[in-house]
Amino acid sequence: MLKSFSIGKYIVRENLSNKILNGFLVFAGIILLSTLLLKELSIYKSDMIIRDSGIFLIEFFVFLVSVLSSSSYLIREHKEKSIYLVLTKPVSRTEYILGNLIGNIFMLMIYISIMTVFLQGILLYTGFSLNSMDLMNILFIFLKLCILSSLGIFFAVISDSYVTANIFTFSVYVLGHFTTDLLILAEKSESIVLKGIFTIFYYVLPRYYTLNLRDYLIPMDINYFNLFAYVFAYILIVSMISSLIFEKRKL
Amino acid sequence: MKNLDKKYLVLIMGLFILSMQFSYMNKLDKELKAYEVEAYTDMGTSLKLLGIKRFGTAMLWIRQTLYIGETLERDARKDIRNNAFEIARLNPYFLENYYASSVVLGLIRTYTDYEGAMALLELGMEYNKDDRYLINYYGGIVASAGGDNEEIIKNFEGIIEKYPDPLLINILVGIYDKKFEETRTKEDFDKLMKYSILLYETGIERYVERVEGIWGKIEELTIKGN
Repeated sequence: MLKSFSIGKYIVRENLSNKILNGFLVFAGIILLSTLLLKELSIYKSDMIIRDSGIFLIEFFVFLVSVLSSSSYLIREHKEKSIYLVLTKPVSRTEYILGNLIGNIFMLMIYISIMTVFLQGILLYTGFSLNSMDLMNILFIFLKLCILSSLGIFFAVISDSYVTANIFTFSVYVLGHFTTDLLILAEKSESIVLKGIFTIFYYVLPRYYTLNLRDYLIPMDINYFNLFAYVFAYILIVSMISSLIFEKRKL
Repeated sequence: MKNLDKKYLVLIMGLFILSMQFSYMNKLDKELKAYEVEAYTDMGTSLKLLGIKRFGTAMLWIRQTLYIGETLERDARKDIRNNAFEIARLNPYFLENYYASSVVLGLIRTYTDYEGAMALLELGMEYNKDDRYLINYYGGIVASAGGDNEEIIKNFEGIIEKYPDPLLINILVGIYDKKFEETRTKEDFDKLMKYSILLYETGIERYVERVEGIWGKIEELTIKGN
């Protein structure tokens, strides 16, 4: 496990010195700052406008960074052949995959924290503040992106190209937001094959629609334990499958 | 080999935990779906599918502010109306949209789009049953439309059947009182009596006094043989 943490630490360090990712962060900061203008443009509920836009922008930018980082790192290491340096040392492939995941999760934590502090600063400047529900929404953005990171690593394991791995990860994120509609499609579909495909998708894809707390229209009575357990189990399963495939893959 | 077995064990454990959560996730999914408006527009569907209903609402609300601001320069009625419904379908719990948009549509002299304002408020009332202000706004629009528009009154009576609110009944009594004074038809008299009795039964002092006044006036007319 310690070895996984070392790999994770290396990934965080590399990502933090990555100019493209840092560029994203600066750009995100500028866009977040522009939400200040929205306050002037709205007749009522300017706090809601800044808050909803800010929280969405946090997810959007960290999502981009997360897709780029999680689904590219392993492929880049493979192409640059630096992966052999790590794997020839007494580091198992499972430890490598776990390290990759830990690094990405830490990176998400850092990026989301920085942007949350920034958003809070903007809200304080305009006379408002993030409430406990907003913080919960941001926590669930983090959990959603943790799942996405594990999927990004999975697609990097099964694919040889940056483009396909990025597209797959991106598609899963989008598809995950309409899982419930897939079930409705399955119910309405007359073809048994389509019904089966939609139902499988409904259970296999991450339930972003349900985990998307920031988009709940009214406050709901939620059992957070079930949601946390779902996220934990999903990441565990995806990581184990990635590890099993990576174990058998010829490098 | 042993290592591989461990991985399978963890995988099975993960699948077990995940399957335990499915019933709760499905239940929550259904509850969430029940709070959404079923009929979306194309844009609403795209925003919903991307999981950005609230962000979409915020952006459309800013657009609405801009449309309202354009009122002095051009006839933005169609844009305001369409955009208000777009917001309402995306987030039917965003009350400020109903308040501001219905007032602009219904009460600004160049627009006077009573039907649009009322339809918007009816949608709002459907999803926000406990909000008193929506009922007040609705009453305000009807009072402003006056008794000339038969369609509006008919609609309004339907709303009172659904939400028998004293304020709304009071407005209808006012409309029929005025109409009966002008037309003196049996139809208007029946309606006036029906709603004044309803208003009297609310037991609210000021409304009771008003109804007694109306009834006194009718009695006088009957004695005079009018």
